[in-house]
Amino acid sequence: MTLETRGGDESDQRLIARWRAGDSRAASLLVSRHADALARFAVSSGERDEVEELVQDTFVRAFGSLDAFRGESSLRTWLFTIERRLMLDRRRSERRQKAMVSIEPSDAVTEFDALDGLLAEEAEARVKKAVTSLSPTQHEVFTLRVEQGFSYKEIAEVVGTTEGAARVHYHNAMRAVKEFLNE
Amino acid sequence: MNDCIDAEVRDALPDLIHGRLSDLDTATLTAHVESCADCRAEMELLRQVRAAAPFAPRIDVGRIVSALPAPMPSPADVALSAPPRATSRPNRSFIWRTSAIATLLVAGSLTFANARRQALPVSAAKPTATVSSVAPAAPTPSAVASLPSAPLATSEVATAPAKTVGNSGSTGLSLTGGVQDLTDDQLQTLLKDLDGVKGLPSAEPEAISVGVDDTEGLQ
Repeated sequence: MTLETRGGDESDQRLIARWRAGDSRAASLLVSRHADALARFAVSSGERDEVEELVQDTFVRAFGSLDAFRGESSLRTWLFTIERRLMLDRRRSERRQKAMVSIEPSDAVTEFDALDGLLAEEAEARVKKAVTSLSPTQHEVFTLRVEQGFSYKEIAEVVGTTEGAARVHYHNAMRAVKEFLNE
Repeated sequence: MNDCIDAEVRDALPDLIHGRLSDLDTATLTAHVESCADCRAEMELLRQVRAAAPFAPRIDVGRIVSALPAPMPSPADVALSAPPRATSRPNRSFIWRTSAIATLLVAGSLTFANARRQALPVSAAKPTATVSSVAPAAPTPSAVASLPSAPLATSEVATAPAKTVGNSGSTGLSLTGGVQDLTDDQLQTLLKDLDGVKGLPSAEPEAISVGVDDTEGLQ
């Protein structure tokens, strides 16, 4: 199967060049193109508070080190990689400061559900519970694959693993979700 | 819920949902899903997972953009972001210059050809006409005027002593070579320019008639 290349009207690479040349509208286009997906990934990964700050920090970090961006991966993948590192840093920092167990993604999403109200239907709630029961790595890979539509190669870049390992994690996650729903 | 035995198809189902497959793969996979109960169930599960994804807060793009660091432009980025029009200017200038030179060459060639056409009947009517028998050592003003190079009006050509019109094929002045080297686009430009040319330089008709001793044959 061949994957279609993601692309908008103007490539990320060209927008980066325009921003470097002083065009602030290019930065607006880049941020609006990727911000929502970054926010969804953050929430899916268990971030509840200050999601916008996290997304902002991701862009500030990315734009501050664009010289390090070689364009070998897509900007989107690179942004997700930065955001993931920021989330890990946050959790480590919270753990150190409060000397408490870090919030597992499953806990966070469950709490989010409670706050979000009882909008979801029963079947949907069960699916959500099945997903949140996955191990952190499986949850991360499964979310990137199903919710964000990343390829295994992109997932491997974000998570820092191999394409083959990402594939295995995804299929194990899918099997676990099915077993949970079959119970 | 069971797994489809085709692992490759199962692998591609999330891509199908996100519309990341080629048209051909999308059609193939869709046809498979319609005929495979396991894949239909898995597609439904994937849709539910997507629908069950937690809502993310709205992001204030302006706020993020205002917090971004100032860009550090490099020459390569400035060149990449520049509009393409900027790079086409030298080419345009080159084309205009080439067109102007080519126009001059063609105008000269046509003048020369016309002068020859005018000269031929004279020599045919009377072989002793001055036009075809100008002495190399003492060119008359009429003979000089009838030289192919006259329209160029250069002093060097005007004082050239050894060129005759009657032997114009061997004068060594090749004004058509430049035209043959032109491209189709340049020739099109030339033809358009030539449409605007009104009349020929004053060299040919009167120059021939003035120098002829016996002009009765021309009447």
